[in-house]
Amino acid sequence: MIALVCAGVLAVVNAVLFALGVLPIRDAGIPNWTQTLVVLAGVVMTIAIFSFLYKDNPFFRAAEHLFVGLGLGISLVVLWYEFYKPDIYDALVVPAFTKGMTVGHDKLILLIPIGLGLMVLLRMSRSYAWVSRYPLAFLVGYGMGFGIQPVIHSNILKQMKPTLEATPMPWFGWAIVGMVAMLLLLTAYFASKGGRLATYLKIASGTVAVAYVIARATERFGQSPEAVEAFASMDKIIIILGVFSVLCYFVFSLEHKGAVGAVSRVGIIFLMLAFGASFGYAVMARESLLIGRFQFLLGDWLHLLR
Amino acid sequence: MRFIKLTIPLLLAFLFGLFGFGIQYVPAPWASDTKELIAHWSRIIGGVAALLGTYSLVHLHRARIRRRQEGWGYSIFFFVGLVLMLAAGAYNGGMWFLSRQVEQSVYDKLYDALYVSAGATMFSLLGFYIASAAVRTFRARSFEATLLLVAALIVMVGQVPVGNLISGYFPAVSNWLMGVPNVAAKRAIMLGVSLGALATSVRIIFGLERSYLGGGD
Amino acid sequence: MHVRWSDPRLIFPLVAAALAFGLLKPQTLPIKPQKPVEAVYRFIELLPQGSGVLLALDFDPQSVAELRPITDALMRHCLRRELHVVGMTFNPYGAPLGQDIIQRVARDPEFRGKQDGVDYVYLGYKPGDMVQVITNMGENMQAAFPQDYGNRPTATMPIFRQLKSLKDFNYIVDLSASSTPETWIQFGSDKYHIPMAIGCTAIIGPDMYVRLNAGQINGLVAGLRGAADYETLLGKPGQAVKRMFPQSLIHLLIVAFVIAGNVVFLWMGRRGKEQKQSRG
Repeated sequence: MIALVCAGVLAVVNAVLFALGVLPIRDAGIPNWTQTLVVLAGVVMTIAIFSFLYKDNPFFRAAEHLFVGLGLGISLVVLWYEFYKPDIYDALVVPAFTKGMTVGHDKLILLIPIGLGLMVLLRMSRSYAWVSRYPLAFLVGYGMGFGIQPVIHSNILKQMKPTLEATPMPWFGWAIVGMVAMLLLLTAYFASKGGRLATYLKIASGTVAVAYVIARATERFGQSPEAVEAFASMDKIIIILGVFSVLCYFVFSLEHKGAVGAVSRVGIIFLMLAFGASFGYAVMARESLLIGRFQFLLGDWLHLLR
Repeated sequence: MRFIKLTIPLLLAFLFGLFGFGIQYVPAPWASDTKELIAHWSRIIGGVAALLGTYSLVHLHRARIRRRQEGWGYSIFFFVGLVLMLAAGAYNGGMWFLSRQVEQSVYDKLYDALYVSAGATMFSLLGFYIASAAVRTFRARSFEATLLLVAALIVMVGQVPVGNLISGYFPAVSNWLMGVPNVAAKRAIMLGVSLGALATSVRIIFGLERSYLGGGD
Repeated sequence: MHVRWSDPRLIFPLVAAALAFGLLKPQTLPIKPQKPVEAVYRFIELLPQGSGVLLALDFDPQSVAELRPITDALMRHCLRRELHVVGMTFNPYGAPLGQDIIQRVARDPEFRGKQDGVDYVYLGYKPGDMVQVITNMGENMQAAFPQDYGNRPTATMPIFRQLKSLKDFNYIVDLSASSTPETWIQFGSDKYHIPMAIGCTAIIGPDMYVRLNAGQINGLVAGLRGAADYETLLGKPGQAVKRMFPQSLIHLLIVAFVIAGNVVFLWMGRRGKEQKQSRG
């Protein structure tokens, strides 16, 4: 039913567009039928996939399967022109079968990796699948060993360096940081116990946090050179606190009680802020993709956009 | 037989693992040449092995059609798409597939018309669903949920130009959220994940992790 | 037919209507470029003429709406600055897309005189493990890519006279929607000490801030907003700037709905408590 409705809408709208002269697309007054067909095919695929918003239907499923088939075809075509043709056909087959040409030793040796690649394909066989373990052992073993040093360097050392670097700050700055950190930890500790003290501590912590963020964001106050340096140092300390507390949260072999529990709860706060920010960006990303599609439908198809 | 099927591959993985780790610390020209050779060979092995995925997908849809399983008619569309693209790529604007790839051929037109449209639309569907999800599930049920909600709202408003028109605080607070608590949490996650990845690498090299070898012995 | 206010059948048409209105009645919103985007712009501005820039177009049609404007703006900037641009991809589904984007920019009348193989080139896709391909590029670009996307030999291309390996490049920019930036940082930028920036979809943008904070990348262009910032800095507002108005509308719509939903939720919660108290 949905498929029929979509097909009907497409037929009627296109008929109207052709009648009004909007379609076919013209280049300097001359109809460009190729471009028109490209746009119409795109519209059919777009509407077919958007029909899923109402309900799963055959139109959508057909488009989905077509998409998967197209993707596989594209990957094979790209593989041929980007790899098989230059690296195997032009390098080995053409010289071997062309008079006056020979295959160089540096190219003949490529038969070894080609053979290893074919061994990987034996994974499809039930009896000889074990043969694929040899090239896989080479690829995976070498890859794992090769990757250890860059992972340690880029993902651990280079990340720990800014976290643990000395932060320039005057002594009273450290005093304020110490007091605020104590306040946060006490709040986290007493939060689970409840009571009036917990409430007052939560209010105090919240006020300090909001006041800091607003002060940081206030252009006149937050952008003077002294303020910029002080805030940068404070932010670094907040990051250190955040990294440590989130790592503490993820240590599940320790029971999250007492001091560990308090630090973990601070970690949860950082995680919630991070995931909230990530969600905001995710909304931006998805809506951007949607705008692109609407621009195609309203602009390239219906010609309603300036 | 177990020695040939399992022990030797594990031994090879161990030796190549140590070799891969050690060669980065050798400054000699032969080390550089060896790395280049191995990288080249790895590319070729990977390129040939890519056909494995092709076989899996084709076999799956072929079996579905042969056994007349539920939804087998849609598998025909899969083969239509595959054959269409292969034919267009092989035709290569009339020059056929043994020549250089021709620009702006039928293959490129089909790619733009069908694949780009379909691909872009698939993910743009999520634009509707994420809006619906945000409206239906974002509730200030607890302190943590409220934090998540407030952070998301501030970033959503702060990241668009209209946020700056409403108040300069939105983009400023949004940038602070991205640059400080977000960095702290994601850095901790990255450290944890990297340590886990290192542990997995060491386990694979020492033969404690064997899932990459596949089933059987 | 009972329709709740949070029913998708209500939300979907409202989202569509907001987007359509934003596109049909465009407004130009003032854009204040963000610091991470300015950092990329400034770095490219200061690169000497003839410097090599590697654009890794690691995306496919799923992310084209966000990454195409970023790639477009970066390519334009590099060609304006007379830099040598080498494009390539690790995504086979995006290989034709990368060629299309690079050629469209290069054929702009503004860049008349720029030649393929001399000022810019698109190398296309190479299969295999990304780490090994980058390592290959790090030792010898022409061995890694003996031909470009159009199957022309790279050995004779003038652009590779100075750019023999990755180490000869002055800047790497990875345009990605997946985990390729991590690999580029670990095995490309950090290993060969080449400055790097990332252009990415907004989905992975928050994760890239960690790299920015650690100094592993010197700039970040995230999402459509990043593209709009870059177009503004270039002085050539394009698709990204145009899309900021519908983007703003939709964000405000979602925020309004979420706030309204929470007001209702809190009010219902309070009413429920009062009813319980009056009963008990």
